[in-house]
Parts: sequence; structure tokens; C-alpha cells
Amino acid sequence: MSTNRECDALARYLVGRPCPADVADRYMRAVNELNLALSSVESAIWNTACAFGPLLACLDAGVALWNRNGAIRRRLLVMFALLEACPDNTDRFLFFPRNVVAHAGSLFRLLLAPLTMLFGTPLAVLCLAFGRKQG
Amino acid sequence: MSERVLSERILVVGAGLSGVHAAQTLLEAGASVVMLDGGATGNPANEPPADRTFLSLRAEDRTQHRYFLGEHMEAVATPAGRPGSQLTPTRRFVMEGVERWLRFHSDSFTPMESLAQGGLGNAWGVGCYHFSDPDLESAGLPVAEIRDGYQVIADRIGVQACDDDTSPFCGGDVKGFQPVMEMDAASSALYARYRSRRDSMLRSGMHVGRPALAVLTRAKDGRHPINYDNMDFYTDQRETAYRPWITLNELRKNPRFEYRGDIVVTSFQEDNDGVEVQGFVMNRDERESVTVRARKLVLCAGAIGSMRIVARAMNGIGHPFPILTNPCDYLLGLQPSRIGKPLGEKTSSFAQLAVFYRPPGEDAVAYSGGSIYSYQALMLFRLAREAPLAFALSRDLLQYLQTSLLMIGMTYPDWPVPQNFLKLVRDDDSPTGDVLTAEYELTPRQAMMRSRTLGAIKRSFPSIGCVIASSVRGKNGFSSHYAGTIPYSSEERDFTLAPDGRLHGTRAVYVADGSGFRFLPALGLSWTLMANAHRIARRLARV
Repeated sequence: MSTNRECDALARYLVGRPCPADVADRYMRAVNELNLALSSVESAIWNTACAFGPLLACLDAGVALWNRNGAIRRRLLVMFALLEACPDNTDRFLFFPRNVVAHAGSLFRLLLAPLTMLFGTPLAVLCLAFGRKQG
Repeated sequence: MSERVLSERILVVGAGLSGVHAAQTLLEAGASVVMLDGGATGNPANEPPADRTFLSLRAEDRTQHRYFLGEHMEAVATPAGRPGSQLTPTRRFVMEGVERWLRFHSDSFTPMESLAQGGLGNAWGVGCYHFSDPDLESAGLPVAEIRDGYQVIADRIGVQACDDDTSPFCGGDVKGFQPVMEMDAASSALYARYRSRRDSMLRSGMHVGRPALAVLTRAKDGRHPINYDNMDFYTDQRETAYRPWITLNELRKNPRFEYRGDIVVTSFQEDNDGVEVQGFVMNRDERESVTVRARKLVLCAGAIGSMRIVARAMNGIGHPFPILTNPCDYLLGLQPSRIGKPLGEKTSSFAQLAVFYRPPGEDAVAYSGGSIYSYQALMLFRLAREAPLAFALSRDLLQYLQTSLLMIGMTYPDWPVPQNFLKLVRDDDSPTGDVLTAEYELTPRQAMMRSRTLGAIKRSFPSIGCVIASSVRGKNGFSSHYAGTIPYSSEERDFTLAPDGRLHGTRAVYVADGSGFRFLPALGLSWTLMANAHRIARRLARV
């Protein structure tokens, strides 16, 4: 998967919007500078997850529980931080008054959390077993 | 009392809180001062634009990643718990050169040291706490002189404080305080609830009030009063909060003052004519040694830094030096009544409230103390990184919770014990030829105090509208409060200081930082460090 598509998939998953070009550039640079390369097994899981949004949510939930220091969670953290430090997304990180639909969406995602953790666990265990050791 | 006018050249090592105030007092007494310092400074190009609020920068600045994350993602790359992980990217220069020149190895102690211009004072939370008389006596400090020093320093740097339940721990009887700043909404709500339950809180030993802070609410000496832009963790451009480099800039206007900001001092040697100081030029790939001579030497390199220099100079390699540090805990509080409230446009990131806990009947010095901050000027990724949740879910939840979160940093006192020590050992791979090692563990008394304090906060804070959601024990040394490595002693013993700060076994070497303190109360020690540096410099001016 190209890095641009990876950035777009991550941004759509994290904030529901495409990834701005400057954020994608910074993400690519950070992945290199922070040495966030993936093993072949991690790459296969990662590419599949990036191509299919719901799987990315499961993978994220799984690594949050079982592989917190792995490259996949760190890639997600890097994109999260970069999106947060981008003015296009201020409304996604700071609280602004919102309508009932938005509140309901948040509640729905909260209710889905146990399911994503459940489905993400085997993926995270695979990444833990076959991932690159992080320094 | 008349003071002899000095005309001799005195070397001051270190440009931190102690160094600049020792130098100022010496200059005022007529001495010529040469200050040697690592001298690292921040990169102005990475500073945020001036006079913009946190919210406006978040909403508009496309280059905000430079100061919120770091040009190389430093804020993301440094795992929590590493030295310096609590620093925002614009304050990272505090650690510059440390890994190379101040080699350290320990599994049980994680100190933060600095070679920067201004030292750890650049990362100081600007809380001004004064030691009580029993605190000062336990620390081996002369009460009257330090009290006088508190006033001198407050006049120099500008301190805001008011009279409330924490006054016995904060401002004391100093005169001329500036008015306190406005509190943010979250802390105001907490404080209002505390005031309504004040009697029962005080009966249980819990004191909450406004901290004394070295933050201007009125203009002073060309510095600006607080403008509530909420960028206090990221920039000091307005010089609202006191930093040692503000004094240093003033000292540099004095023709009797010389600043050499590229030297790492490693050792000294005394002879009949004075003292020769040895060191290295800091920013050279190859080791380039330097020697500087003077009549007298005043070490202000911090309790750990001065200990390194003394150990090398006085055959102390392999000798165990005591170390004092405040053990600490970080508590995350949640105010349910504040969930889903927007961030205030005008607010400040400094500590909003101070909290002290001394159970009834406990020793005068056996209290724990801390500061309460609102989580309003830090990025959510710091919290999301620690949560065992998917990032998308964390973002959703934290958006609602952010303005309801309070961070409470609690510290506990420290007494010297044989099992806690620093030891400099030989290491040929190090540019200085040695590495500092350490052993540190909590004493049973500290563990008991910690447990009692956390229990008391978890029980009492819900009654003032704040539920403690989690607590994390800070690594040993993480409070950045260090002292007691070369304690004061009235006996002429190796690796101790005379009450006037002179290093025993020398004629003209003085230590004016916190190395001499024999006890560390559960308070920020910065104000006392400055007052003590002034005291020692003033005594030196009379010798």
C-alpha cells in the first residue's frame, strides 16, 4: 500500500477526514526518523487493516491492549498527534458544543469498543509474536 | 552591618537559579564575577508566534507541530518516564549535552540534569514555597538569614501570593507580593467546593489554596504581566514567569561580570594563589580542555552536578554521596460537573492550586505537598498514549473529558539514609572518564506517608467535586528536586560543607546550591535555593 493511501486511511479512521498533504509528509518523515518499520507479518496485517476501515478499528483496539509498544501502535500515535497539531482538525480534538447526532455517534463508538477489542486481540497477538522488536 | 567591597575575581559555576542569584549578590558587593556554564539555549525559530492564545494557534497555525510536537516529533518519540519526557519541545534544550557530558547509570534513580543557560530553572513550574522554621532547622539552614533571603529574592524576581490555608507553606511573611492571577473555571469550581467544606477538610489535615508563583500579574523591570494566553508551557517570550536567564541578561550588562557559556566544568584544584578550574568546551566533537583561574570558586552546578565536580577534585571517585529527592505521584482527577465544557479562551497553564496534607498530630515537617494543574494546554495525544483504548475512541472520550481533568502532582519529604546514594565510578568510554551511578529506594516512612496521602486525597477530593481516576508513581528522581549530596556540617569532615557554604578541606571553594541541605521537605525548593545562594554569596562578601 502506498504511504499516501495509508495516511488517508488513518486520518479517515481517526478523525473522519482525508489526510492533509502536509500532515502526510510529516507522517512519512516521522515513520523513517522514529524507525517504525514493520515486519512482514505486521505489514500484511497493517495493509489489510488500512484497506478496510473497521479492521483498522479492531487492530487499534487490539494493540492498545496487547502490543502497546509495537510499531503499529506507535504509527497510530504519530498520526494521532500530527492530526491533533493540524488546524483542520481542531474541532475533532477540542470540545465544541454539538448536536444530538454527534453525541449519539460517540456513544455508539463507545458501545462498540468491547467488540473491537475482541476482534482485535488475535491480530495484536500475531503482531506481538511476529513484530519487529522495538528499542 | 557593613560589608567589605570585594575587588577579587570569583568564579561561579552554573547559571541556574542558584548561580545567577549568587552572582548578583557578589556583584552588588563589588566583586568581579566570571560565570562558567554549559550555556545551551533554545532555538528561537521553534518558538510559537508571540501574543497568540493556545486556542487561536490550535485553530489557525499550520506550523504548530514545531512547538507542540517538535520538529522531529520529540514529544511523541520520548516515552513517558524517561528524563525530560515531561518537557514540551520548546524546552528540550534543557537536556542538551547531558547525555554526552553527564553520564549516568542507575536502575533505581532517574534524575534530570541540565547544562542549559538557566539550568533546570527553564523547566521550573515557578511555584514559590518557603521552608517553615522546622523545615529550615531540619535542613541545616539558618532561619533568620534564609527568611531575609526569601524577601530579597521575591523583590528581585516578582512573586504573586495571597493569604489563605496554604500560606503556612507558601508565601510566609514576605512583603510586597503581587496579586494572584485569575483561576481557570475548573480550579475555581474545585476551590469553591473546598471553601464550602473547609472546616472538615482542615480537620482531616487537607489544606488547599493558591500557590505562590514567580509569575507577574503586574509589569516589573520591563517584564510583562500575565496575558492568559495559555502558552506558558511553550514560551517565555513575555518574561511573565521568572527564569534565571532573565537575571543573567541583567548581569551581563555589568562590566564586572563575564559569562562563558560553552564550558562544562569537571574539576578544580586549589593552590596558594586561589583555584584553578578544569573543564571542556561543550560543543566540540573532539575533547578540548579549558582551565580558568580565580581567587575563589562558587559551585552552583546543582546538587548532582556539584557533587560530580567535588568527587573528581577531592579523591571522591567510588565514595558514596548521600542524595535527597522528593518522591512523587501524579494523580489524574476528574470533575464530573465539568464534563463536556469548552476550553476557556483566556486562561493560564501554571499551577492553579496548591494542596498540602499533614495528618493531625504528625511531625511539623512530615507533610506531603503538591500542585494542581488543569489539563488545558497539553495535547490529548499524551493522555491517549497512556490509555488502553483505541486512539479513535480515546479521542472521542477525551474531547468530552479534557476540561474536567485536573493533574495533581504530589511530593513527599526526604531524609538522608545510607541506602540512598550517588557514586562516581571510572569509565574510560565517557568523555569525562567517569559515570555517575545511584541507588535509591523509598524508606518505610516515606512509603507510609505516600500511602496515607493518596488514601486521604482519594477519600476527601470527591467531597469537593473531584474524583481521582488514576495515580501513577513518579520514578525516583522524577520530581527534579535534588539536594543533600554534600551536607552542611559543623565538623571538618570530608565531602561536607561548613555552615557558610565553604567546602571542608578547602580554603576558597564554596557550594551555594542545594548540595548542603540535610533534609528536603515536600515543597518545591527553588525559592530556598535562591535565598540560600544569596546567603552564601553575602557571607562570602564578608570573608
